Amino acid sequence: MSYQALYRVWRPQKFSDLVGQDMITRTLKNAIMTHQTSHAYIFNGPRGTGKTSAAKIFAKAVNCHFQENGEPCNKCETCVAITNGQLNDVIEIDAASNNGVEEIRDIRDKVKYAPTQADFKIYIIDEVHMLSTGAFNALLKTLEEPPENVIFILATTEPHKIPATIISRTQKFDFKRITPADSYARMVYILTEKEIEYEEPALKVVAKAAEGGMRDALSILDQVISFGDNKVTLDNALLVTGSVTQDKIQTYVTEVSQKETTQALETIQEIIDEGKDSTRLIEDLIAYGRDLLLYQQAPALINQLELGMVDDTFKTLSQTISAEFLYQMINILNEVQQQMRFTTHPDVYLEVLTIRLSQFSTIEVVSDNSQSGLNQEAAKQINDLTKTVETLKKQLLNLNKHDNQHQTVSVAKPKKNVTTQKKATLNLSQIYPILDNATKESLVQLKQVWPELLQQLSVTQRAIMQASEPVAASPDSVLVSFNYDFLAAKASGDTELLDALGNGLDRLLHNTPKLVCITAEQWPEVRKSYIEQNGHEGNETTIEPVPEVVEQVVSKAEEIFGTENIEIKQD
Amino acid sequence: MTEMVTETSNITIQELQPALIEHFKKLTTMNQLAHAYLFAGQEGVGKIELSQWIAMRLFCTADEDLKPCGVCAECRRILSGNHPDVVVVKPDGQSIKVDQIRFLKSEFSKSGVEGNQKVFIIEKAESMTASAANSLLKFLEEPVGTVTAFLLTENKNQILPTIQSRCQLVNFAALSQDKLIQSLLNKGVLKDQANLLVHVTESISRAEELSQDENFIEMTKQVWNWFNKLLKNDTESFILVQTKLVPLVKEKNQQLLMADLIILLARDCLLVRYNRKEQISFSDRLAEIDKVIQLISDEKLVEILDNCLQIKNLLQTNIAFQSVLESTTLKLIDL
Ligand SMILES: [Zn+2]
Ligand SMILES: [Zn+2]
Repeated sequence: MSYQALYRVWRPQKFSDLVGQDMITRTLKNAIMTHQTSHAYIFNGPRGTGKTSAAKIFAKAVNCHFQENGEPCNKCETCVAITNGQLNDVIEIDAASNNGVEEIRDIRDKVKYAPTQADFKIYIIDEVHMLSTGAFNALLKTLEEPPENVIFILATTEPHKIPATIISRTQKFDFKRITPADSYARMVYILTEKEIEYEEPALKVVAKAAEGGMRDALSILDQVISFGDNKVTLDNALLVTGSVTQDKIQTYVTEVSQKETTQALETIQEIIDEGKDSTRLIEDLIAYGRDLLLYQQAPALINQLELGMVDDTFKTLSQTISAEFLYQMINILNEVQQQMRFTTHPDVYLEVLTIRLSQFSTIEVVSDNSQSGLNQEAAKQINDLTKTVETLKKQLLNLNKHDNQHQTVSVAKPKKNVTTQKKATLNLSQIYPILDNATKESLVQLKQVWPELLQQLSVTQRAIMQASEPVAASPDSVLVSFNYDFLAAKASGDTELLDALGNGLDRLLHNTPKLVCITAEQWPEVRKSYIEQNGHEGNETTIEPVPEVVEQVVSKAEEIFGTENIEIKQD
Repeated sequence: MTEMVTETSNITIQELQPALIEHFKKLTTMNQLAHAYLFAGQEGVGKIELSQWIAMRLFCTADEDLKPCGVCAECRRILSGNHPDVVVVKPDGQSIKVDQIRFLKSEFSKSGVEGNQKVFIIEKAESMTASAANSLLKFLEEPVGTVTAFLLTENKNQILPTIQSRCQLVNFAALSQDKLIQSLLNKGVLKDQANLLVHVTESISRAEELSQDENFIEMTKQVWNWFNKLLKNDTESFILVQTKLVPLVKEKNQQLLMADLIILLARDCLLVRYNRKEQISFSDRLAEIDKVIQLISDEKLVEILDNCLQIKNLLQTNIAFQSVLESTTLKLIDL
């Protein structure tokens, strides 16, 4: 007998076992008690938050003849058979490995037959977003005319990949990430039941590393137990998760905030030498920065939130580090986190990170103000650049007066006069109408399908589009920004590519917006001029990116306290 | 008794990862192996060796002192990759395809007799296509019979989160660089070269191989030459890309190697700037680096490194190597 993983042994069998999803379980239990269940549900949420468990509990509860307050008895024949996966009327399908039309057609054929052993036939389709388009269509047919006594539960981590036509025929539940406090409590419960000793700080480290997944928490806990001869120690928790102690994090944050670059580089080297996990470190740093921010705004919240991590150093740092520094720090950390996904040299990224964190405020000053210790050449460049911008602004003004005239403005940066490189040119008469009619909805929609759209291109086409993203969109046009100007130039001139994109969008959105290319460098300038000149308050918001950090802090707070109680002030 | 040897060097897995060997010795003895592990760590830290060691523990017929013998028929079939119950999956070309996972699943369900121990090892698990990874999911959760899975990866961030959370993660600590440098010195590699090589690879055998590779030696020279010119704002650096650098890299992995060298140089500049000279990899260029960065601002150095780090991301997108290096040169050079 091999070892049974905790998350399998302790899989919730009742709604009350399910951690951190009170709203959902209450609604489901009510529906069961009052016999008002729907024909189809979508259980959406991050990994390990209890979607599949909830689906199985639901299957038991609707079929159990001894259900009480919406909970299954877990003792009767039906309940036991469902728990063991032996009841023919409860069908679990893994859409990831059975994503074809055939499988779903098979469901359509069999769905007509009444349940044989239970009252309700229940289809649980896991990872439903993996179904092919054909399979979704077949599924839709079934959902359009649902047979009596059949219930579909569609579980997914990526709801945006499910066609709207399906979603509109279901009742959707959003499973939330499990808070550290909730997963801590569940771990304490399990360990007490199993009579395993534990150190409290160890569980805090595990709860944090699990990032909102109960299954993750139990997997990590399993391993900490196996390393420690049936005892959960802090040392083993740090070892297994690759986390560093809070002390180290605080030392590091202190050093970078005080611009002690050399010191901070030494600290990071120590962390690397200990073989710590760089991804974990970045995540812990982000969490720490976010906690400091939140503490600055509402100290009471953080005390409840972070399992008593507020010590003297934390308090001092929250007073000495400005909110602005923290916002920037988190932005840089997010950026580095993205870049690190594709590297096998995380240590180099950690060094870069350290230098950037301890230097960025200086860099900010430099780009705003040309007096600070720049050499003459650099000063000259900035001067040149300013002139170009001035000229550009005049041209823009001019253009604005003769709105319908086609005019092309080239914004080559003065320092790069190399003729071998094709420069992207700006056609403002194409761009402005997009901005005039930009809607947030169009942009969000495009951003959602963008990755899938790129997947449909050929390898070479995808290469060109890889570093692109939609930055503004009206119902009939989209402005696409490229990280590299030679790629933007290439894309705007490649009719085959533009056709392929048009076809792809038609398939995904049933709409073929016109594509206009721009470089990431040009975009902020164009956007600024547009807003300045048009005073377009109405549309400004639709093209204004929301700072990501603020969103994160707010969403974290909301997660825990609900939307009503949160008000974030930004200054 | 024959100790198991990793790669072609003579460090045994017991010496390489003593703590993990002890850990898994205990787990195998007490029958407490989990059903799925994710082994994460860089090249050469012993991921494949440890998974084979565990497999041998499970099958060896002459197990002694809680260690597999390494020479019995079972052990040998595992080491050579020919054991019917120990299946190894490797990328077919660039990726592991869904068919390979389907094959794996059918292999296991075919002879999935209850109590019959099986092991599967997926090398470079990060290269699984999305459908391959998704197809593996359910199998990981509810395996048939007694199956132990080892997923090996150099970059666990590229593993689907849903897979990560179904595995026990084992982080292989990187080998200490001092240790690596010392082993290389023992093998007669020069100090400066050893400093560079330990930043390029963590595998001793690979480092040794590179230390004798003419092409690699030429590459380090030319990359420095190009970089030095770039730092001096010399337009010749643009020409060098086509004339000197590109001819040295014919294959994708050579391109990645060159990208690594460039990143290391940019990193060295910053380390020198912030008094961490002892950590640099191009130690033979220390004096020259020190001199050339005198005229360069901190911000510019960070910008240079940022752009150099981008090179690898761009290479993932299949843009031609030459275009990547040329556009990087143009970006960084101040004309
Ligand atoms: Zn029952
Ligand atoms: Zn043997």
